[in-house]
Amino acid sequence: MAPDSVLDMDRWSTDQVVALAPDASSLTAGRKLSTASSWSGTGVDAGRLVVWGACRGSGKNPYRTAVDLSGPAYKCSCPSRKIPCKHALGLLLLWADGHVAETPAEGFAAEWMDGRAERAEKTAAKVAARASGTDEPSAASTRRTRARRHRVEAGLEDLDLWLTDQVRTGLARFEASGPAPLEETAARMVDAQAPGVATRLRSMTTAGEGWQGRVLEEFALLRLLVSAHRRLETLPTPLAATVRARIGYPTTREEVLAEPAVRDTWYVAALRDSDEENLTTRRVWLCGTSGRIATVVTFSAPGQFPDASLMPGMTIDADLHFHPGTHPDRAMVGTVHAMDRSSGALTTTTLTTLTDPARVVGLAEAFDLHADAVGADPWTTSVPVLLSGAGPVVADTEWFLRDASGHGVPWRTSWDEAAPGTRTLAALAVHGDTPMPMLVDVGAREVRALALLTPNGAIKL
Amino acid sequence: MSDENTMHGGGWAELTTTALLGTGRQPLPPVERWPDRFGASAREVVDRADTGTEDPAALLLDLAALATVYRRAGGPPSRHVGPLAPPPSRTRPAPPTASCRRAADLLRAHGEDEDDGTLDLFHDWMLAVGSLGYRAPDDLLIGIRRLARGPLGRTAANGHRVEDLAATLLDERAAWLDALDPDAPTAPDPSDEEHWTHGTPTQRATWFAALRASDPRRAGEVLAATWRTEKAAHRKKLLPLLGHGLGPTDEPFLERALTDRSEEVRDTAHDLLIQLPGSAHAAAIASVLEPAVSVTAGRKHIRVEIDPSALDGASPLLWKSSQDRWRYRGKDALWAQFHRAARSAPLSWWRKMGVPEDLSTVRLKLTGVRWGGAHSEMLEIWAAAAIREGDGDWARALIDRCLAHPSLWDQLRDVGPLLDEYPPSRPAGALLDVLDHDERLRIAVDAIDRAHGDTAATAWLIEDALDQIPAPWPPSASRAALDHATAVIRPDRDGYARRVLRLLAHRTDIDVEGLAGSVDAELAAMSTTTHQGVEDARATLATRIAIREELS
Repeated sequence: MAPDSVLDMDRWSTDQVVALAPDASSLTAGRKLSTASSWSGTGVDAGRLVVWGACRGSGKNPYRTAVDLSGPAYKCSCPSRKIPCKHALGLLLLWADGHVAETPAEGFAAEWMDGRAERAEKTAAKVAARASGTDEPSAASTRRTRARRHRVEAGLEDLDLWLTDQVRTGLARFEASGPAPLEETAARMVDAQAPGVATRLRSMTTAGEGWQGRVLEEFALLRLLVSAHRRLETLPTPLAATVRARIGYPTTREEVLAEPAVRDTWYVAALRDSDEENLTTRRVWLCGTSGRIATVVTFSAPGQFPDASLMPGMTIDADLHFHPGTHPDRAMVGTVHAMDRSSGALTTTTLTTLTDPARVVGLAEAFDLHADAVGADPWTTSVPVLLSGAGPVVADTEWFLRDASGHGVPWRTSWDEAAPGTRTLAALAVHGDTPMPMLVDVGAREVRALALLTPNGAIKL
Repeated sequence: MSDENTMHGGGWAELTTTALLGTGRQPLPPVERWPDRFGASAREVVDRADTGTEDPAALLLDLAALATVYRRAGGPPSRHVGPLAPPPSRTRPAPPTASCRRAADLLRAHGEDEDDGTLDLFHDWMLAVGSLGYRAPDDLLIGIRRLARGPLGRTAANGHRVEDLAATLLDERAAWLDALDPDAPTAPDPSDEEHWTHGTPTQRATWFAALRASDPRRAGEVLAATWRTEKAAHRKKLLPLLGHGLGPTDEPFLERALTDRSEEVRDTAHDLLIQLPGSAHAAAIASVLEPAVSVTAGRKHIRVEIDPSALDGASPLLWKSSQDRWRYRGKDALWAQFHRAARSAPLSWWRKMGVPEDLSTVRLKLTGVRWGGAHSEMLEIWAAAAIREGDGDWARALIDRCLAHPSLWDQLRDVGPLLDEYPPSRPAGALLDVLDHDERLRIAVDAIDRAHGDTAATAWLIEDALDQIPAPWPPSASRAALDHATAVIRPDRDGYARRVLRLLAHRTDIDVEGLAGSVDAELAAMSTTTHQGVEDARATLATRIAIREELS
């Protein structure tokens, strides 16, 4: 390779590749594959920014691997769930060492890049159309929208009757029936294309201390949702968007991306997977240096790998687009300007900013934020807050989150099975009795910790 | 965060009660005393009721919606709680940052991929960090605390107990966390007899074990006092606990337990009493055996003659328990009776009879024994006693005897486990336990010298001897292991070669000037083709050196 080639200037350093590794064992495996003898048909196309190759594996056919260097984005025919997989890492290391020759992309690498370019263009066109208001919906789509609206309306009227019936005859019947009637009604709501309502019904329980109060609260909020939907046209736009989202009207990717971009340096502080109705829901919490917190939610069907583009510990400089609504912490990632995967300079600066005691809120303020959120969106269950000045304490074998004024509220952690135990102790091991910034979900009944932020990174709680 | 909020009390409770019974039966509750703007909105809702057109159930849900939003916005109920006891000041430094990061990486990587050796390296990290007086890094403290609590008895690749490696790193902060942890297992207070007199069987056993640990004599008295009233199930559970802190003062009580109604209790009492070589029970066993054993010293050899038919078959000490019946299924009944008793006889008696430790001079003659394995079972009888009494002279003599005649190992293999820890295929392990590190090294070197490349017969001995010398090895151990690995690195011995290489990699003393370098060079020269065991060993050695460098 000629030393004055464009490629040499753009070629990544080994350190850059190492920073992409999802974990130490992938890196070790990648290093083993970074020898020319493991690969065939390698190439790099400087114009299209793609590296590709075929790696001899244990199977009959070699794995075909390609990396889009502009993302970076990865494509590999291996079954690994790690992103990037060891083949992609091995290929990049090989390239970083200067052992991949420049040649125009062809074959599967070219096809893959063509597909990516095409999809990116389509999305960009839709977003642009939406943002400029030239997005004229077709007659068919208007018809579909109207039909859905009618179905939902009918379904919600049905729900209203059911709710009032329950309260007229008395909630005591659930003691005998258990949650079966809730499940039936939830199924009807799915048919009525109101999946948000169905999920609320399914998450209710008719057992345990104080179930009556909790069921009444949920029924009351569902009736409020029905009433709000009846006057959807007269509601302020953000509230209408909230009501639609709570009922479960779909929000398209283009709609969200058409919302104004919020560019910031975002630290990925926590990730939680939950299985709901045959879907894995992955929630990722991002803390921005502006003080804003975003939740990115993705879904994956059984057998699919959950989205792994945002993993705790990463820092991204990116445009986030927040969902329309009255209290939108839910967001989608737009353009990524820079990415730092392993407590590099970007992450260290971000953590220093995030953990600056002058910027984070105290317990009392956190509840003010929660109250504001409930005021704007009565169906809010919790609000993510970057909290400081409070720490977990144990009193009568129960855990509380206590601030300097001596007020304590019930404290839970997100990853301990029942009572907060090991995770809380892990937090105390790090900060002793000196409060440290942590990301928490402030709810109406308790504060649920998500992650402790330390200068060395986040510790999940 | 308001403590006093009427919606947390009266108003909401009335709404719930009405909803529970149904608006068909109950009138709407009064809302006059609802506070603030919510109260005003609530009164508007109730006014709608007066028109008579609205369903009271719908009105109740609307009232409940108002109340719910009001309650939720108020946040969770708070109470006044005290601060935590301040954590004690810390006396030991945390490891350097780079070292902490490596430890976290090793632990994290292990979580993703089992058995890839990263946990072994984490154990090496704990050894290196602990031996320099550092404490656990704060963010790994809980994980290390968990390792210190068990499962107990696991040995790391470097030869140390995992729980010991972890416990060394725990400092004042770990003790502070223990005090806070509502789920921390707490040892019962041995002075509080309430646990014993009123506890559940498990609580009683736990308390008894604690008492035995702090005051063995008192524990013996406590058990003796209630023994007659304990159920058989409890007697079976409690008696083995006397094994900890066993002493001559326990003898009278154990003698009593020998005549227990439960066979399992009798067996346990027997097993405990023979651990007291000076006990009357041990002496009684010896005297039963005596007619069947005669030792005569010749010019070159000492002749040991065993004649089980000379035993007094009526002696209660020759009773066979069900366990024995299983063990001796299909074997010679007379020999079985002899074997059981002989296995329990103290070494001092064999010595008194004239049997020398130097077994190479012994010639065995077994009279009237049809069971073919009896010869090697005589070795097992002496091995069991040597292990039980921790007698290094006998252990060494037995191992040397087997080294001289490697086929004896194969015979020993058939005779059942000597100790639970070692499978039948590894009888040497328990004998080596009795010896000190120098002795184990000498035996390993000796065995490697005799092996001449073909090591099948003594492989377990070599592996066990090396395995029982924890890191850091004396340089001669690394040399011997290296020589041995070179000899056995063959396709047919691949698994064994890898295990030897693994020991070498984890235990070579990297603080000895130039040693790690020369070991690595020899490893590199060992195999012309890529050998995974060699590669892994070199990588392990390199990581250990990196771990060490991060600490200086």
